[in-house]
Amino acid sequence: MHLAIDGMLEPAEQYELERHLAECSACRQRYERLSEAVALLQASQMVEPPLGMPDRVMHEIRLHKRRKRRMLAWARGIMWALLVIALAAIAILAVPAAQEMLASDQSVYASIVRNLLSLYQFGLGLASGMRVILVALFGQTSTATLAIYATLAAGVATVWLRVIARGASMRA
Amino acid sequence: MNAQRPAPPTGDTHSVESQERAWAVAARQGDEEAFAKLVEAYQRPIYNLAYRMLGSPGEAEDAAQETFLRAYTRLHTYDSSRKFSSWILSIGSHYCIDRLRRRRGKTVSMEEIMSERWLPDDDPRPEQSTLDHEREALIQSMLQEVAPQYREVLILRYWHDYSYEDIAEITQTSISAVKSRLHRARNAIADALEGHEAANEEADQRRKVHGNALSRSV
Repeated sequence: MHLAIDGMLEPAEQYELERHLAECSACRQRYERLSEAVALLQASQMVEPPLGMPDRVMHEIRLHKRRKRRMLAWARGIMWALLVIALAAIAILAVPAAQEMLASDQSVYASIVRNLLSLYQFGLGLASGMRVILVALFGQTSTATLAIYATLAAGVATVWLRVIARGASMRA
Repeated sequence: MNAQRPAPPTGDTHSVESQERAWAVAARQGDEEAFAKLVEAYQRPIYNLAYRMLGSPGEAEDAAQETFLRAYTRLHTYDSSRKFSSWILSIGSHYCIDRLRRRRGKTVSMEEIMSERWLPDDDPRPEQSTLDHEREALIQSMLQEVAPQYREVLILRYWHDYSYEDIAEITQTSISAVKSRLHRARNAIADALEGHEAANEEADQRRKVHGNALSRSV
């Protein structure tokens, strides 16, 4: 029946359908109902969109671009500020800590060189160096604090890189 | 076929398609003017899709704006080997379906439909307008009664005159899925029509009984 309404039946099939509809009142009712519904739909027209809609759409798009650019500038600014503060804090606190370390053990240069020769030892050296900094900053020696700090720094760096990358691709 | 909506000659369709494709590629590279041309070209189809899906002109403009905004921000995902029409209409219909899902339960009432302006500005037969108004309100309320997926294919088929192939691309399903969905959609709309006429008959009957009762009591 649906194919007939769409006008897609072969003449032979159309004849078969009409023959059945002549005999079966239930099907005939259904067919009439379907035709009526479809005729209603086909009689309906598209309406005109409100005047000036394209201008309003372009206006919205320009606003959206401006907002996005502003947010990006803010994000970039904050990330740079945090980076500078972090570096400054490390510099201020690490210098006296490093000087103390050197003063207490004369052979520290030799041990540093030995550590540099082995990556594993180097990693350990880095970690203990950071612990020194953290002692100076927070007065704690736990590796947990070190781990938290490293995770936070990595998280911040990742978010920053993502935001910058998306901003670069969305320049359009 | 509706005589008032003639199909464009096929030669034109191809050049229109390639023009739109060129605009989309230019817009993707930052050409705002090119995108503005696309908005002008598609304001009518996108607005009508939203209007028939959501039921009210106010929501339709809102949805149309959102559709164009999404299209703009997603231009980098547009594959220029596809038709631009399928791409942007699929964004529109996905948004409308999402919006309907979020609405869940609040339907547009018949009074709301009849009160809002919906007739095209260039209606040439003003004496017909009351009948047309009633008929269009009936169509709108019937559309609101069927499921969104059925509404979608009916709109694309009967207002936009898209082929099964295009509808399949827009709804991102197969041609056979479109055929069966249209089949079920037509049944649903026929049921809605039947329900409506039954309700009208009941109302008529009640009026007759009430009228008889009145005349007897006088």
